[in-house]
Amino acid sequence: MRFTLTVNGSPETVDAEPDAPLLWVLRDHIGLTGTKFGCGLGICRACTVHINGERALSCQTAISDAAGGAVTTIEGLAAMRHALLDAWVEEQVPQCGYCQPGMIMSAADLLARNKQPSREEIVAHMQNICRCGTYPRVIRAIQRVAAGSA
Amino acid sequence: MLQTAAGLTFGLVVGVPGNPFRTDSAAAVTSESFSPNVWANIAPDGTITILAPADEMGQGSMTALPIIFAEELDAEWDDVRIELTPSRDEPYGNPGYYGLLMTESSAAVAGYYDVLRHHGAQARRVLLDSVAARWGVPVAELTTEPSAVVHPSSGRRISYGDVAADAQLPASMPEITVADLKDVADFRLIGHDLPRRDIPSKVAGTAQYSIDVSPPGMLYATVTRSPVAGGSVRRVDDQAARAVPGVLEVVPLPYGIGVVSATYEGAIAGGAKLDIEWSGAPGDDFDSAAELEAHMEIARDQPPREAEAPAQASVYEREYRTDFLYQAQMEPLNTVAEVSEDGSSVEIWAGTQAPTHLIHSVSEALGIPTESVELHRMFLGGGFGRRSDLDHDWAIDAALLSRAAGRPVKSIWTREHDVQFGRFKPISAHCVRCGVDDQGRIVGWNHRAVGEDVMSRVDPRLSAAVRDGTPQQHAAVTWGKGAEFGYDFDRASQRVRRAIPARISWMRGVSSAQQEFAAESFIDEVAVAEGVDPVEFRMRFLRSERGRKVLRAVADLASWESPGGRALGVAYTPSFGTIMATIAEVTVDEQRGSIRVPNVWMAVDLGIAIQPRNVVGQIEGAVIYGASNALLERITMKAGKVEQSNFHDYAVMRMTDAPEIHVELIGNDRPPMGIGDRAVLGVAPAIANAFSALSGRRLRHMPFNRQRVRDALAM
Repeated sequence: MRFTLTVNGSPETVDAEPDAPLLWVLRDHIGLTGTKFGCGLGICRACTVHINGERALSCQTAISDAAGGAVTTIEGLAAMRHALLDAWVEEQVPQCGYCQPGMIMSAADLLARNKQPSREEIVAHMQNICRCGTYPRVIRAIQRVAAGSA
Repeated sequence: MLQTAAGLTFGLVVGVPGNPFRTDSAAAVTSESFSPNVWANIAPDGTITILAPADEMGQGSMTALPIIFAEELDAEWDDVRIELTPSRDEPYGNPGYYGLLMTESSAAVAGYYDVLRHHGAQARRVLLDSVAARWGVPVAELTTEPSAVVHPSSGRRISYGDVAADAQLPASMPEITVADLKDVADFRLIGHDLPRRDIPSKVAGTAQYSIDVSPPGMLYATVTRSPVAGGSVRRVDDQAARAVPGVLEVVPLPYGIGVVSATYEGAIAGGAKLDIEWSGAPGDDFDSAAELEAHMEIARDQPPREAEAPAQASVYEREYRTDFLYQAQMEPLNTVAEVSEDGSSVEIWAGTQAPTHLIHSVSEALGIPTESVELHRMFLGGGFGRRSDLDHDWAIDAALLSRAAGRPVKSIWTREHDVQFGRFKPISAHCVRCGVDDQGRIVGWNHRAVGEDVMSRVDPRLSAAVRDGTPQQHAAVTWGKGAEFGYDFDRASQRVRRAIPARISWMRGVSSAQQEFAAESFIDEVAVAEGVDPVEFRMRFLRSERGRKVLRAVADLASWESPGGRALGVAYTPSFGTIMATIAEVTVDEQRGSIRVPNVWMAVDLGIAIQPRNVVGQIEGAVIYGASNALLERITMKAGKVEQSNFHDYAVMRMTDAPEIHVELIGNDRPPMGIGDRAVLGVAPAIANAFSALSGRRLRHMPFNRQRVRDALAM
């Protein structure tokens, strides 16, 4: 079946099964491989994107549900040089880097709702799993942007 | 020799200097580029390509190792671009790790330090000699500034690029001695926290892992294996699998069934619909809980006591247990393989810790020579030991399926496959015993540990190299008296191998983490029973000034002397030349049995830190990994099958539970030692010891899950 959606501001039309997860549509059908596969159960959050301005788990979103919507991926944030990316580099956050696109998408969602989150609010919002243990630097990078010094 | 990268989309390309979020295709190695030796080439435009031998799995070696070479070459860092070496043990294997091209055991910086300094200095000398000849001046009148040769007395200057444009290799390479190397005090790059080259692309989402690679015509696959190790397919009904949209083929493999599909979602769905009857296997009865008790029976069977010091006051004996652990790297195992039409060669894209092992095992699986396996080494979305075995089961999947399908195939293990068919850190049982004489000294320490032997099971090539005694530069820690940074009492140690049928492999900290959990918990129990402060007790047995300094430093960092109501526990863990001391703070919710670790402090002396900030990042990561192992993680097996399958039943630490981490790096001029998996060692015992400080009770079975905490508090 054909589905149309907007991805990072550009219209995309794909041919997929209605229940195909948005994650695989983005990665394989469209070729945007920044969004990552970690668990397929919506637990690890590596697959986090924004749909219509809110964070969403792309492995838990069927293409039939995403169709017609506006999706933003890490590539979209990079194209607009989102302040978080510079902060992530300044704080040297990533280690293996695999969870980081989803982590940044979660952080961007937080800052879109709350420009000056407290440490507690950051921790409560950031549920992404990082096996390399970058959590302390993730917090500092978000605080850096919140403080306006990124 | 050096790979060309013209037009390369899938290779490992790291950020072009000055362009943080774009990774342009690497400049091709042109015929005008000059290679002073196998580690680098210099283009006429001044670009210096340095080859990094270690695979990059987040530990930062891909940047750190070229820094060492660039320091001695005296290169302007912005002129440097980095590529991984070709996949050959000769000449790129780690001289500090049996000459093998492997990234494990925290051996990269320590092992390559000397060879990279030597070759960097040699490359510089080749450039100096070339200019001396061309200008007709004695080479002693020349020196270098970053990326330039200068003749101070005449003021002449020539860039490395211009030298390279006309340089020739000398008939015999210059001999390099220590006198040709920089003084540590003159280091301009080492120790200066240069930004990691892999980070910008990892932030932008353009960094390429093997899971991101898609050569034209590629298909997707999943592979289902026997839930019990060693089982084979007795019967399969694949009708429902074949009916799934996208599924093209169902392929029998020697060890399971592959589903090949036009989409990955189809491969997952098709795999789930296979109806497979598995044969019996040797491990059909394996029960991890029962087996751990069998281990402990053996651990208790200690050798007869030797004659002990007279006037012995007290005898202590304790038992410690650890469960199976899963590496849980965030990128599920996967490989892309493209077998040639005639089946005689294959191109592989994989993130591996052991490139030459991968080539060896894929060549064997396909029945082709190793020279016919071309490997593109990709970033690893986490390794933690899982990707270093000789047999790369997850790469063989892709190779066999590509050959069967006649197309490139990307075979991805689902998270369920990654857990259920995983290779775990094996269970272990420990019995530790000692006496304390009337001088308060430890006597007759005996530590008997029982567990499966990982190296024999997963790495015959490494076993052979160790057996053959290939020279290695590890500063080895021995368990006996006189260990360089360890305790000064005699420590007898037995490691008894207990073979088990379960799938096992290496995991961050390896068996050392289990040993230290037992040993550092035990010495703490003895200290407390003797009525001595745990830091003071350990100090009693430390002769090494460096060791004492590290232990004192962590105690000061954590305000051990005046904890202000906090419950603190300490562990001292020297390991292969890296000296570490760890203090953890714990709080407990007694109702729930949940332990929180609000703070961890670590003092570390690893000699020269090539990238101090990155070292601190590795320590932070290891503390979180170690705390997660200690509190949350266990794999259990019943009737031979792994009971867990994803992150809902194998919980790992999230930000909300992560401690605040405070690190002091103790700087000095010792050659650099490793950190990546070492820093895990003190975490579990420090937490157990802090729990004891809080409650007076002991946790002797990792992980310290809620049931065990409640049981300990109820005793």
